[in-house]
Amino acid sequence: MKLQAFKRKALLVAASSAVLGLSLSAITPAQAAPKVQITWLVNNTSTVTGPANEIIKDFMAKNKDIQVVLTMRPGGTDGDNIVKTKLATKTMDSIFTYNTGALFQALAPSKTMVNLAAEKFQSNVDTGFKNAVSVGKNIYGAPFGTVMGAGFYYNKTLFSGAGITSTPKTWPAVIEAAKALKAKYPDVAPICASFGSSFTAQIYVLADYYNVHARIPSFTANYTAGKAKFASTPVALRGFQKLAEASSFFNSDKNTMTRPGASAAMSNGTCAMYPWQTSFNATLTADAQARTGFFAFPGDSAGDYGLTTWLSDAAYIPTTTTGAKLVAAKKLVAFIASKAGTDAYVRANGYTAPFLTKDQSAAPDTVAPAVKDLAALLKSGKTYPALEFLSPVKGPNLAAIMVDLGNQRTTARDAAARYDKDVEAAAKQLGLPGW
Amino acid sequence: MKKQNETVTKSRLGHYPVWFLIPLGIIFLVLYIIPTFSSLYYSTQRWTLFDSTFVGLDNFASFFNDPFLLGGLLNTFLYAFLTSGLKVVVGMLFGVLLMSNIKFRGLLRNIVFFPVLVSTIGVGLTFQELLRPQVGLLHQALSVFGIPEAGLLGDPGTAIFAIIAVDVWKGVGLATVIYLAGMASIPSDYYEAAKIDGVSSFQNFRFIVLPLLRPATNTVIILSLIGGFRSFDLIWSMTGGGPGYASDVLASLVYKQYQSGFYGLSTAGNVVMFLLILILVVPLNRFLTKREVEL
Repeated sequence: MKLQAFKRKALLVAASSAVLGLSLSAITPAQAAPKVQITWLVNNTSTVTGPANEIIKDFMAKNKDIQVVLTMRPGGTDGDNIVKTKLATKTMDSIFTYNTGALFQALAPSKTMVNLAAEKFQSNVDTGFKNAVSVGKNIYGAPFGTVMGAGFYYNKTLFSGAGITSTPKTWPAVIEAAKALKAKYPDVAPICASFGSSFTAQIYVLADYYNVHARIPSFTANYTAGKAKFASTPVALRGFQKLAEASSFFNSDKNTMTRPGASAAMSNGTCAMYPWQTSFNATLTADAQARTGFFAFPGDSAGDYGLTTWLSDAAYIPTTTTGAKLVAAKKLVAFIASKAGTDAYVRANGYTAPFLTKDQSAAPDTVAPAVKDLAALLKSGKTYPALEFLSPVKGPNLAAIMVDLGNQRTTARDAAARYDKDVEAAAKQLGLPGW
Repeated sequence: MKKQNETVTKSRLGHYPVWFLIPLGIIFLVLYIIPTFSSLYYSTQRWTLFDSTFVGLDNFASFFNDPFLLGGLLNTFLYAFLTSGLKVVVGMLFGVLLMSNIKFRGLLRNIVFFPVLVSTIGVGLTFQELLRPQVGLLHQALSVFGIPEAGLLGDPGTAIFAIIAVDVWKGVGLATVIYLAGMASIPSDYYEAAKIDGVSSFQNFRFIVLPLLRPATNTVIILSLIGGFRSFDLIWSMTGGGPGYASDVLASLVYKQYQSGFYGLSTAGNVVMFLLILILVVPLNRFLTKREVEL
């Protein structure tokens, strides 16, 4: 009897839960077709995540069957590490953004990335950019972001207060300006350094390349072949020497200040000059942008004044993205490289510089002074790409070597010699001929 | 005949039959022996994670020619010996204090041991913020005594010492616990005999406690020395080996090479580290244990 009673109870429970389940499923609305979910790995600085979020918003509005999730990684050497490790262990996100040029080459793209040469959006992309993301005939990336230059951001108010009437166009003029600023404003750092973000220390060598190329056009080819070295080429050594000369004007907390810290210092006036790429302007407050100007990283004589340029980062698709996710990823990459993508980018960061596509957002009528300065430099035609876009080899330890030099723990020549050794190790690791 | 064999097997390997040891043997082989030999293999290769080419001892040559290696080695020795020495001294002092009949003895023991349990990365990041110039609490407090304006971590000369101090703060609890255990195992007969002879508390400490604590001291020395030589987490999270290369030790130099994508070179660096620690610690251990007194 007991067993029968139990069986009846069990049947009753089963039946009622089945009815409940069926009725609940009737209440919930009909499910939409399942969304394809892809992830996008970006650098975690605000000038990257801001545009990325805008692009995702616009893209998902146009593609309701795709969901894009933004994931973040640090920049600098930690970021390089994460990207390389994720690619090597085949755990990379559906798409990721990274540098172009030599750093792109170091990722072994022909083994790790999807070839996008046949995609329709490539007809909109500048040829110069395509060169920086190709291996042979295969193109692996789409442009994300704008052209950049590198030089000094300076506080116009402090400059005029210290009696500096003209924008420095030579390196000696920069040192003169620093001295004048130090004399007039003892509490302001004439030149700020942000070694807390160690990758920013490289700017003195990397941004000087226009000046190196102007004097020695053959340096690129000889450097890639392993014949020209920084330590033994006086013009190339200048970048290291310029850091050594600037180090006596640095802020006292140079070793702990990060790049966002430098933005804050330039915004609140405790910093008079800061050398970095032109993505920097968007990180300043609106008030600060109104009184901040930009000049190119100068050479030693007025005739050398020109701008070293950087191509933008790129969006890449790793080979681990397949099937429906690959289709979705290709759509997102095409969107990033389209005018809609550049519009979303400008909405986040404001207009800073031209993009690397033919069909792109137009420059607005009123821009910040520093943006105007950059546009004038780009228009002048006196520009040259940084070395990492012309040569596949770049030493990965330049940042730490420059921080060492910026702390006056070594000489410019020793630092350059160490970097030459680092470049040699990187070239051998890449298997370049002749090293 | 069978019985004879069984006895031979058992007595040679202790109390357990051979097949009892096989599971552990497999784990040991797979997780310890094989990786050691594969490290040796990859240290002779130029390795891109996708393919490798044999380069013989080139990686070792590059490692020893690294201009920052000397500084890194000096920092490693400084770090290891200083943290070890401080942990021994401070640990013993805490041990003596926490063995005596003071109020809240149990609570104090917990407080001293607590930092040992906390994540090293968490400690590193916390102290990095506390020592931040101008805004960090610890920086502001220490400014009274006069520290570099760039902060203890921002000044290349003081960075490694700040990290050593934090390491001792974090690790002394473990040394203290080892000493407490050592002191607890000293038979009270010795104390009673000494009391009858009328020794002062200092003589008590010097002639009874200290010699009988030698096994504990040896344990603390060996453990903290090995840990100091290998130390990476705290240094990396506090300064990243910086500023520049100022606070780099062997482990962080090896990590920097790995970050740069020089995988074969960093494996060679790891092999060098392993051999260095082996060469230093094994003789030291033998020397210390020879002088241990059997209780």
